[in-house]
Amino acid sequence: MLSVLQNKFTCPSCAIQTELQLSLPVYLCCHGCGTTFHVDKDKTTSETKLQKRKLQPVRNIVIGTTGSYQGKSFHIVGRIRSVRVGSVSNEWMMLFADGTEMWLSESGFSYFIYESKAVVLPIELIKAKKAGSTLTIEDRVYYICDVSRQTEFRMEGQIPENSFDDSSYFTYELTNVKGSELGTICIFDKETVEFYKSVPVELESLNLNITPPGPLQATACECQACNRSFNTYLGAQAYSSICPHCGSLHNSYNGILERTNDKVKVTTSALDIPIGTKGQLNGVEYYVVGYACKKESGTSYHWHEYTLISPLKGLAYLSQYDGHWIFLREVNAFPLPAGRAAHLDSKTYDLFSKYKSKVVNAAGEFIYRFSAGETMWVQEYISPPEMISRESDGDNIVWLSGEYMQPADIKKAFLLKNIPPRKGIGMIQPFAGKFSSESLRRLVIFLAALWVISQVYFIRTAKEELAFMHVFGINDSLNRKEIYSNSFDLKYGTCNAEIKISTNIDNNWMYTAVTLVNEGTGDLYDLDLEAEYYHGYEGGESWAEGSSWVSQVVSQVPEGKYYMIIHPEKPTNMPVVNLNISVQRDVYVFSNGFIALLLLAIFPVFYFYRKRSFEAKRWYNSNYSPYDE
Amino acid sequence: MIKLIQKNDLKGLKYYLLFASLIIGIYSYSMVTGWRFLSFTEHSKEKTGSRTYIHSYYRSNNHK
Repeated sequence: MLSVLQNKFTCPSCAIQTELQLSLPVYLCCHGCGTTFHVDKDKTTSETKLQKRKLQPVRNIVIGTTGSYQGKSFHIVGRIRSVRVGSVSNEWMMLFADGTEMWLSESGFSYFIYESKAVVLPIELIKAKKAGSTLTIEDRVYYICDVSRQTEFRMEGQIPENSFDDSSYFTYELTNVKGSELGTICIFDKETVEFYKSVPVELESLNLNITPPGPLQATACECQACNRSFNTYLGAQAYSSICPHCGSLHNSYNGILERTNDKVKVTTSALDIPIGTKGQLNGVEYYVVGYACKKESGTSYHWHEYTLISPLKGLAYLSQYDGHWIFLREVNAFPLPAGRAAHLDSKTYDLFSKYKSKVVNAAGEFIYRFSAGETMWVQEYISPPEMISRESDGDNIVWLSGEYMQPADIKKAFLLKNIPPRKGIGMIQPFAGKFSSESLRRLVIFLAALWVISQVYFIRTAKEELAFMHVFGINDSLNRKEIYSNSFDLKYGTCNAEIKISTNIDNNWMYTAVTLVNEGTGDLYDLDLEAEYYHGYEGGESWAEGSSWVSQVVSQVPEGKYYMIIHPEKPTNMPVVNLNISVQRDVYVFSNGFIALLLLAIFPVFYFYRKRSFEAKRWYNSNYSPYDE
Repeated sequence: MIKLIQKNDLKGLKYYLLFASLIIGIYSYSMVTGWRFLSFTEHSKEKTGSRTYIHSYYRSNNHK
C-alpha cells in the first residue's frame, strides 16, 4: 500500500494527510483516527496493532511544540509513552533545524534530554548486574538505580523506525554519583543492548511555547470494584489510584481506571491534610494527591507520608512523625555511603536509621506503582535540619533529600485548623536558634584566631620599659615610716605601669603600701603590696607557698613625672629587709584578654552544651548514636 | 571559598555578632590605653590645687 506522495502521508483509514517530518523509514500515528502505521523506506505502509486511544498531553507539550536547547531551535515531531513495571515515561522527539534528533524525556515529573544515538554494549557488561551495581561505559562510572521492563508502548506523531519497540524489553536506569550524567540501557534481546546517555534538564530552560499548567482539577471517577465515586487529580499521570471507599487499587496510567487484584486498607481516621488540599511550601504551590501510613517492620512505629504534586515543580513528599514534618524531594544523585556517613553535594550526612517499611493504609493517587504489600528498605542519613534517604525495593533505588518543616509553617501553608502536637525531638529537628551550628562553630574559630592574633600583637607591642628601680634597706628606723622615692618619668601617653616589690624574706612576710604620685596633676594611685614566702619540710615532702616578690598593675596612668611614697612594714624578727621597688611602664596584661575570652565564650559554651544534650536526646531513637560510646 | 557565616544565619547570629564586636572593641581599647579590667589600685586626686599637700611635703622635705 502506498500512502506517501510528495512527502505527505495520507492515512489509509481516515484519509487525513500528515506532512512527513522525518526521513523514512518511520512510524507515524495519524492525528485523525489514532491509527499507527509503519512507513518503509520504499514508502510501503503497514498498520500496527497499537491502541488507537489518544494520549493525554503532559505539561501541555504536544506535537508541534517548539523550543530551544543549547541555543538550537527544535520542534516536537513525535512522542513515545512507555509504561514500565513500576513507572511511566514520556519521550518527545526533538527535531532540530539542522536535522539532528534528540529526546526530551519525563519520568516522575523530572525531565531529561537523551541523545538519540545509542552506544552498543556487549551483553557481558550487564550480566549479573542489579540495582546498586556499578557499570563503566565509555570511561564513565554509573550506578544502576532502576531495573524494569516495558509493559506497554504507545506513540503519537512521528518517530524513527529504530525508536519503535512495543515488545516487553528490559531497561536499566543509570546515574552517576552527582546525578549530573544519566542514561538508560535497553536490552532488546540477547544480542542487542543499547545505552542512551542523558542529562537532567529544567523544563523552563527549554523555552517551550507551551501554556503554563493550570491548577489541578478534581475529576470524578467510579471505582471498578465497588462502583462508588471518588475524585482523582492526576489523570494519566498517576500510575496507581486507590478507591477511598473499598481500598481497591487501580492502574490509572491510561487515563482510565483499570482495576487490579490488589487492595489496600482504607484510612479510617481523618487525614491531617485531606487529599486535594492545596498549599504553598517554599514558595511552590503543591496539591496533596496521595497518602500512605507506613510502619517500621517489626515495631509499632508508624508515620504518615503525603504525596504532593506541583503542576510546575513536580513531585514532592511530606512526612509526619510525632508532629514533626519533613519535606522530601527525589534527587538524581546516587550518594555512596561510606561507613556511617553518606555525602551529597559536599555535605556529610550521618547514618540515623536502617529499617524495612510496610504500608498500613493508603489513599489517593501515586506517580509510581503502589502496592499494598510493598516492602522498602530504608536508610536515613541526617545533617539537621536536612537529611537524605535511600529507599529500595530491590529493583529500584531512589535517593531523597529532605528538610525539616516547622509545624506552624505546615499549618499555615495548607490552612489547617489542627495539626498533631510535636512530641519529643524530631529526627532532623533543628536545635533552637535561627542559625546553623556550623556557622556558629566557624564564627567561634574565627574569634579564637582573632583573639590569639591580638594576644601576639599586644605582647609584641608592649614597651615594658623599666622607669624606676631602687633597693631600700628597711631597718627598724625606717619601719612603718614614709619613704619618698626620687622622681621618674612615665612616657608613652596613657598606659599602665607595673609596680613590683622584691624582698629577701624567707619564711616571713613584708607589707608595703605604695602611693604613686603625679607631680604635675596631683593624681594619686594607692596600692598595697604584701609579699609572703614560707617553705618547709614535713612528712617527708618539701613544701613552699607564696613568693618573696609581688606586683600590681596600675591602670591608665597618664604620662608625666612621678614619684612614690612608700610605707613599708617589716617583720620584727628581721633586722633589715632589702626592699627592691621597680616601676615598669606599659606591660602586657593577660587578664584583660582572659576576661574578653571568657565573655566571648559564654554564649557558644552555653549553646553547644545545650545542643549536645539536645543531640543526645535526638539520637536516643537511633541504633547508630554517637552518644552511646 | 568557604563563607564564614551562611547568609541565612546572619540574622540569627546578629546579637552575638554585636556582642562579640563590643567585647573586642572594649578589649582593644583597654589594651591600647592600659586599662586593666580588674584593677585593685585606688585612684584619687588632691583637692588643694595643682600642687598637692603630699607633693609640697615631698618637695620641702627631700628636694630643698
